[in-house]
Amino acid sequence: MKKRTKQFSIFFLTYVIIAVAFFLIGGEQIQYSLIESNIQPVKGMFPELSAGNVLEQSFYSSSDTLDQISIMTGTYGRENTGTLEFSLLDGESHQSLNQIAVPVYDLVDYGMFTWKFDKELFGVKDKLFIFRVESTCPEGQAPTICYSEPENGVAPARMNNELKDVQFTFQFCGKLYSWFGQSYWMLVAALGGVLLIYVVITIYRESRGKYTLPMYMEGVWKKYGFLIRQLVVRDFKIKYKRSVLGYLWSFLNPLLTMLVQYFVFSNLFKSDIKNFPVYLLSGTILFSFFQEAVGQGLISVLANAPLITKVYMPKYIYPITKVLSSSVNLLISIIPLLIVTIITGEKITLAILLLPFAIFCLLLFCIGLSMLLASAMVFFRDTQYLWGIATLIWMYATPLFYPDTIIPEQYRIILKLNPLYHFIKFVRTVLIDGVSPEPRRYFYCLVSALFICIVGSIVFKKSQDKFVLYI
Amino acid sequence: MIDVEHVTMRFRMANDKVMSLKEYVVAILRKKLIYEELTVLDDVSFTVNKGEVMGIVGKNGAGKSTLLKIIAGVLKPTAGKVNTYGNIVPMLELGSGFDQELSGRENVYLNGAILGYSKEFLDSKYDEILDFSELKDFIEMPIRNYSSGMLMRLAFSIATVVRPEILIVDEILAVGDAGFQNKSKDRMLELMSGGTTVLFVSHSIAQIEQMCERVVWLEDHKIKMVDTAAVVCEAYREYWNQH
Repeated sequence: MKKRTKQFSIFFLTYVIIAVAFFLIGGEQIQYSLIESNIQPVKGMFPELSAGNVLEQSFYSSSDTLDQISIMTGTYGRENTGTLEFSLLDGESHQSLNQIAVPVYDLVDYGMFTWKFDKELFGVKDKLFIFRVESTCPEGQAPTICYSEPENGVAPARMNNELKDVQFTFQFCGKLYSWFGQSYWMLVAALGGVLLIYVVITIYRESRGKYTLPMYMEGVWKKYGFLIRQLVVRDFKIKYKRSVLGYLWSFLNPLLTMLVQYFVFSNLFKSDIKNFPVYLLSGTILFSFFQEAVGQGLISVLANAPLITKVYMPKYIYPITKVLSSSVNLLISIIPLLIVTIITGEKITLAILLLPFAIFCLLLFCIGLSMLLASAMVFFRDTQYLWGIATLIWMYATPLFYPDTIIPEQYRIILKLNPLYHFIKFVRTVLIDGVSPEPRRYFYCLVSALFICIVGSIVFKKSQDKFVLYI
Repeated sequence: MIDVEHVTMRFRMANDKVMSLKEYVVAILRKKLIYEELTVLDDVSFTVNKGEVMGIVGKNGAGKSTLLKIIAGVLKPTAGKVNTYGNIVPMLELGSGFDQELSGRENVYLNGAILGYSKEFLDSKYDEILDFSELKDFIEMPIRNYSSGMLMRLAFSIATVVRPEILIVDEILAVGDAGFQNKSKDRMLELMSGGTTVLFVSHSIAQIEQMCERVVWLEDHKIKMVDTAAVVCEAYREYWNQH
């Protein structure tokens, strides 16, 4: 009872620490995402914008804040004099919210001019704005701005209050606050509350001598923890037993694979990808872990047939230990990944503390899939060969060495449905960008991992009593 | 200590064990997937009391080994259930899960963990195991270099180091050379007489008579007789004389 209370207090404290740490590390990324409107291709130019002319473009903000507007200008390739005056008006009251006078010699022909507001506008989601451009330039020395085909839902531009059937070639940027970031503390408190209630109920039930889930888990760990450790150590010890370089292979393997891929693909994709070596290495390491863990887990039940028919132990131990043994390898190969990250000049930020989350999800995913396939394997030996083909397809469907942008828009759904893509993307964001991924990514990772894990466990549990009859 | 309640075990024997998806589909399409049911145990019930040594006799194929496996928890009965109270050590197979690449010492821990021993227990008993196995310095060598006698000695030493509450023995294991055979036989007898509940299968009716208090006689997958050792052994001998 006392011991339990202490355990639960530690558990609770850990929860609070993780919640706060995550808030700090996640930083801006979990609060909002940056939204940029699309820039439409240029179709033409408005007439020369000399003094007295007024151009207006109204638009609705799609983000919560607005902090800059960019616009494409034209100078006719000559030296102009005077200033352009940009102003942003409230669409309803026509009140000026912000303005700036730009000397026209700053403008570039067919170049974007970015007007960064001196103060951000808040709470502007779906609000109507008018972007107005006026001029003080003499005729013949005035620049102009470019226009594009009008987009759906954007009102046409006006020149001197006359509607034109075009829109400015412009872009506005702002922050869109995420629901998750906004209600973060509420979520933390709600989850904390649920945990607290559960803890209180458990303590109460245990004090009345009832059997509870934590007791069950403790029992399992006490009984089989040593066995699991022994099996994992065994697998790890014999993996490189008679090789000269031994454990060093866990280190070298991903590096060498990365080098080969780098030389093969660098000309093709290098320019599209920021930090190609780290991009390659993170994909290689995670995918080869996945391949190895599931490949081993898949045959784990069958390979241990002599044990299963002779000694009783829970059968889920076989796939789980195989995945855990492979994960030792994964942890070792993260070292070269970090080294390459540092060598290639990325800054290691606190975001790196988020890596365990991706690894945890990947582990769950592999355990679930191993259980599922190991059960299938007992009844149909073909599973092994089908799996060989499936991993090959899976490998090419995952952006390991190519940028995800080369997949056409209409097939992006394949990426979204691929849990490995999310795990790998998570790691890349953390290492290459040095920031936390967006809240959506956490969600995809966790949900796909839990889903497969639950499906795998159910299938395994339902079929495990029949294993011994088929192996 | 052990309650065996109405245990029935049936194996579904397909015409041929279907192993691949294609074969399976073909078999279904041809409607050839008819199972033959093979009853291995039919409504078997008995109880073993605490501290009792219970023998099981019967012809080959009567279902003795299946029964032991069900009690050990390796097989799940089709119907009925088995309740056991206390930790079981099934001595059905020696050296389960030995890994050829690991040293003798590493295998002691691996095999011990598989048999359900804790780390503390193995730490405290390690010297005893090493002593009994007579392996001395060989213990640090990978066991792929062991002779089969050395392997069996090591396996036997690990398996019998415990004092289990329930011991399941499929024939008394006597391994190694003559010296070690005597030693191991003594060890087994010592284990079985030490107040543990023992379930003991043997074809040696003399051994059963000598060791057991009560005996179960399985015949044609059913219980033919459960009684004191003297009575069952008498009847069993008579049965063999007639056949």
